[in-house]
Amino acid sequence: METSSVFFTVGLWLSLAACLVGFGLRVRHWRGGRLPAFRPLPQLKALVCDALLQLHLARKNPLGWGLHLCIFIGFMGLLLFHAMDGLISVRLLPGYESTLNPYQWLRNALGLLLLLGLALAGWRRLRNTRLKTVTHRDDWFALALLAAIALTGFVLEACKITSERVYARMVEDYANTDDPAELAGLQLVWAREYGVVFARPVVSPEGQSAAELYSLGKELDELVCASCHAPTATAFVSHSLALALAPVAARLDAAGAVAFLWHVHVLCCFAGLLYLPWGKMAHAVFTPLQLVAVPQPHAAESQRTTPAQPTSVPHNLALDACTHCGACSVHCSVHASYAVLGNLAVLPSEKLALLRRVRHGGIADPHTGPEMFRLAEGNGLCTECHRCTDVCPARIDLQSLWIAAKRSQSQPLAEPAAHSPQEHMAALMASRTAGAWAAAFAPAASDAIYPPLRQHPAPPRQPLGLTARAETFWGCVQCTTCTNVCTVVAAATDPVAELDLMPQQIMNLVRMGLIDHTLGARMVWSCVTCYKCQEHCPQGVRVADVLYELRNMAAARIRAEALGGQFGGQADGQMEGRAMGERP
Amino acid sequence: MTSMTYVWFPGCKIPYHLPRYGRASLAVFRALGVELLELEFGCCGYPARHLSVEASVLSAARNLALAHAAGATILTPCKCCFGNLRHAVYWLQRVDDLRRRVQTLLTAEGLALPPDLEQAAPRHLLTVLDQDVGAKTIASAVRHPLRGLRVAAQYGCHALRPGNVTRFDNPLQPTVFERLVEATGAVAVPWATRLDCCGNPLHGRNTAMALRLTRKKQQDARSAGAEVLCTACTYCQLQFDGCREELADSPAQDSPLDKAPPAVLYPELLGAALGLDEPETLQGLGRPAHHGPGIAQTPSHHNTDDIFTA
Repeated sequence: METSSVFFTVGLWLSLAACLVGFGLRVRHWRGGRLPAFRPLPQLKALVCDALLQLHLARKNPLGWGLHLCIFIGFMGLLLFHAMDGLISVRLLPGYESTLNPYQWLRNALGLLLLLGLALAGWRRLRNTRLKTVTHRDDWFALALLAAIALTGFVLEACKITSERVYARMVEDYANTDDPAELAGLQLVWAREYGVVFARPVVSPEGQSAAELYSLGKELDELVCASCHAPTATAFVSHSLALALAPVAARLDAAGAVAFLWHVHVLCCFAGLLYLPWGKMAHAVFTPLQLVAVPQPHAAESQRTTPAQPTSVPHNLALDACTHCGACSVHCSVHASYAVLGNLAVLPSEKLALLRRVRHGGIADPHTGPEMFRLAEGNGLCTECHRCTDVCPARIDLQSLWIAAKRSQSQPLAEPAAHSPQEHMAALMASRTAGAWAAAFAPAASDAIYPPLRQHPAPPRQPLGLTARAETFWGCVQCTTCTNVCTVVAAATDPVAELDLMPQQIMNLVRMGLIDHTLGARMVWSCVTCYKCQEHCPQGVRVADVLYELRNMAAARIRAEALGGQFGGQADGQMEGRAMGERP
Repeated sequence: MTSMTYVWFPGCKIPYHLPRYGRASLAVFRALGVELLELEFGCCGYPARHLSVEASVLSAARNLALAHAAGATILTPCKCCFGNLRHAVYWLQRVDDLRRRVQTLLTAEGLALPPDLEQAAPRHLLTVLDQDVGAKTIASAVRHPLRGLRVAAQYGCHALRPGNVTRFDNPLQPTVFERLVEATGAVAVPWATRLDCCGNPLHGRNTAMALRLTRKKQQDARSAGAEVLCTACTYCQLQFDGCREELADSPAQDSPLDKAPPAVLYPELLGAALGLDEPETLQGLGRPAHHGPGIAQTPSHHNTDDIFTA
């Protein structure tokens, strides 16, 4: 065991160090900002009720609460009393031996609880179609890693139960007898009662009967073994596994299965330590901190606070506290837009991952990637309904994050020249300012800040197909009623200077197929959608609906440009394949 | 009175941006015996419409499917939600290809479009009060008539037009809102821009123009002698409130803007008349307050001087 002990000690210290360094790297951007106020009572309550018992989750999502509690109790119990037994169990628990009860069966019960929780978590992610959408590699990896730790633990224990080698070592260390009859008897007892699988059957050294040997062995067992060994059957999971393994146990033992599995089990645990600061499991550290920092739910009253600064501790803690449980995306009001646009950044959990990735510098150039455009588009669709913030079990003020992101992403429009075209497009999508949209399509400006759009294929057929159908404009006699009743035209001091084209002119151009010539007109973007034009048109032209369709077509083009020729739709979402917040 | 059960569709803006509209509406419906079911709806699709009509129709259709599964019709206080849901009904009935695609996406979620879309079409708060409860019933339930209060009823475009899509009221000469305002005992003043847009759809896209439209309406309502602007739409209310705030902050030539008639939501107006909560906006306006000092103020519309000459 000398080498394995070195392996364990060195491995443990190395992974602990790597874990700490990982956390250090992860929080290196946390700087400044006002730290949360110290409010002992609510914060203590938050720590106990919310961080430890997760009672706030019990009301909103009983299944999620139940499975998380299974994982939490199972894993923490095993971590503290099994993995760290030398530090905790030995010192605190009277007469602690890992092979005595209640410790032996408790370990099995905790392991089983953990596996049950993991299985429920996996099932939940597959069953709920909305949750499935936002379930990525990292979510599965975290579940798989925990499951691997528990399963290798069980198989290891099962192999130990059946192992002749382990039995022989223990006999050598503790039996204190050379009497072959007693040893043969002990072997018999351990084969029958403890489930050790011996390569060769027990041979009676001096021709005693099995019963005689057994009673000799039983005496010895009670003398030297029973004080440290409860019946292995109480390790109910491992024992059942041992029974199942019995036919191949001898061969496994001969091949060194116990040592091998021990290494695998320990390596899985080290891998868990290395992974802890980076993947979703970091929430085990950050989420309790966040819950204590924000001991009460965010009230849904507008303009309550200004969002935290992007570099501040509260802002970063909130970003890191996301457990990627998916609750926000499951309940997201604009989830349906994802189904059509295929942009995962419509969904809060994915937007948050993108924001975090921007902070970590995971996007090579945060301003040029298609991700920035997706973030702008997705976030632009957010209606600020506050539901994600209401359901977030980590009490992240998501609403404020989205409002802050909208504000910061639309900033580059102020000085277009100083930013890349992609950044400008993201800003365009974020702000949707009439002037900026019109400028993006205006002939004069197109060469300066926006590459010529006409090189790209025409966007796919519009669902209503109004602009493409001659019948839409059949009746138009250019009577200018639409323009005369237009609220916006009436409110403009100089309509031509402020709006470029009047509604009836736009109808005429579109009728002639000159759609590109209309998209740069500010009238298209400054339509207030009051539908007066359409209501009053004596010829039944759907003026306002046509303007809507023009905006849809322009948005599709901007999108295609930013995403490299894709027009979106389901395939777009599938192509991403992995969480948008994940590192490549 | 027949049994009136609807499923409540507050829309996205109420919970965070205008919770008082939700509270006032629920209180009024409770008082008038309209039963409301609660469901977790998604966005009506109105905000997504500029970007993608298909996303907008799917969002709306999903809500119609949810309400249909719950066996009730949608009742919404927001005219933009109402209008967009109505648009979705209209287009789903007419464009087969769109309906098929929407149905496919709904099926993925285990939902189905209502077989009779016309029957599943939403109803607006004002329609339910006018047609199900009835202005006469409301008038007889009023305990504190808002006598003398001069109210400009703001129709809200998205419920009104296009009339063949929304089927809300006569799009050129609607009467429902005035009827309901008068049921509270108040006076509905005629004003020229009552059917015009509040400006909100341009807020953020062309904020200067949006504010210009809002100001024009406030100015017109004031010239008509209105003490309050009455809305029945989340976005209209947000726009009038926002405009007052924004212009009150600016030292521009238009000040003092606090003279612009404040906006009040219809359920707040009705709630005050029914003896429920009275909003601050109404206190001391136009009539003897039913609690507090009983001094009626003279409508101040006579000095329309020029504060609005922009």
